[in-house]
Amino acid sequence: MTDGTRERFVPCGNDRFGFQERGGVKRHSLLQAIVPRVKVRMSPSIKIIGCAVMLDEMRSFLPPGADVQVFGMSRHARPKQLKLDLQEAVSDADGTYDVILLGYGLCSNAVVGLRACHSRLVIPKRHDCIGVLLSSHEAYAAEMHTEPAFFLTRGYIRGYREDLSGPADEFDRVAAHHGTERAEAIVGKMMRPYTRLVYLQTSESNDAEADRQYAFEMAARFQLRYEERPGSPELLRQMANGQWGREFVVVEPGDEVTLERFLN
Amino acid sequence: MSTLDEIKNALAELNEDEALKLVSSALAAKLAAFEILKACQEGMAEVGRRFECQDYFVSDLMMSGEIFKQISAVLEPELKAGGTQSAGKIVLGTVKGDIHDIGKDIVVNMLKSANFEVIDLGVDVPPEKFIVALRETGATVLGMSGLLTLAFDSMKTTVQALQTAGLREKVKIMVGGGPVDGNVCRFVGADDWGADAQHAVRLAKGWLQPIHP
Repeated sequence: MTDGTRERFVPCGNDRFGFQERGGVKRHSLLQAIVPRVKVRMSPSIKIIGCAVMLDEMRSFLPPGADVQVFGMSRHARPKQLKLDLQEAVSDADGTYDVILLGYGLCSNAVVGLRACHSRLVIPKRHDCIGVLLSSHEAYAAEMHTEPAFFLTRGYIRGYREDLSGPADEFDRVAAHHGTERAEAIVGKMMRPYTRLVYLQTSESNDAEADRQYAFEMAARFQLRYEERPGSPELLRQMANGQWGREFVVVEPGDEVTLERFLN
Repeated sequence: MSTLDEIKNALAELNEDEALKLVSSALAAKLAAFEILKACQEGMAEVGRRFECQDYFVSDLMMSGEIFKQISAVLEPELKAGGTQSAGKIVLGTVKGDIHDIGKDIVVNMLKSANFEVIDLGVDVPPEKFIVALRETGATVLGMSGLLTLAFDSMKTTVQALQTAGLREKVKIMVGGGPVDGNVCRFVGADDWGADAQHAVRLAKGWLQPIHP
């Protein structure tokens, strides 16, 4: 983990974006120190760094002018590398943007330890994208503590199609190298813990029916009971709109994302 | 290239038939079983490295585990014939709320091949089951695995349960799994964490065999 610790900067008496209002004009103390005569624009500058699964749900309500950086879904399989990659992306954006919105939850622990010295970090206070899209802790707990489920969203499906990283792709890959019998044993073991496939439907799109069909066929192929649940990108919409209540981990410049912020 | 290097490469390349054939040839040539095992462990480490570099997928990790398991079964009689007694007992399982066992099973095979007696409790293991197993077996090392971040609270609860049961001071606890790192180890109250299966074996050796080659 790269230690990006720099001199801590904590503005005082500022609004949640670090602005002070003086004489009817909003000023940012850091920027004022650099260019004291410039009147800073009202809206904070925003960088969004997120997983394709989350950002796929945010397309219709991205903040105007926000810069977006997308990380592929398959990076979650290597969480330690993902942590390094996220810190690099945060460090690159640090100070250039007032706020960095992270399209992740706790996500395999990849966000813990992230730090920006000059920008605020905002992360949904959820274990993962399923937790974000189910919108409430209660709904998430209800799903995760009943029958084991293999979840799909349209972002997952898109990622599997692009990366060829879905269970069916793994089966084909193993079969090609080691034979069908081996593929059945290995991918069978991968899917064995699950009794159902839950397709989390968030919003209608041109591909909705094709996505549903993909999910249905995967369930049939791996003998999982097919279920659908309504999902919602509302938490992501709140994040994009700056409505950062207690459902978010908000990390001030210079502070570090900690595990306790998610689990306590 | 030596036979041991060939074994390492065959495993790293996931060439099942070649790896098994080379192991049989090595044993026939009277190469020491523990040296063959060490070559296989190096092969597994290479598989892990290729996975981290995104050259390999999850199914490749699992395939390597299957090959290693077969090789371990071939080596086991030779390793036992060496006269070595059990390296010690370890209770291991995936904690409550988590049903994943791919990584755990690789660790179990690696520990068994290193001559540890492993009491594998499976998945979704509640704290009480860990405690019963520790008491019944007298094991002094506990390994907890988890792939989901939901597992962190379960790991912490299990450690607290050991404390309440008066076992915490008698048992060394390691945690492992994809999302586990030093922060998680501190959060749950474990003694250490294993970055991979080989690391888990080193931790176990350090705790159960303080003076070992």
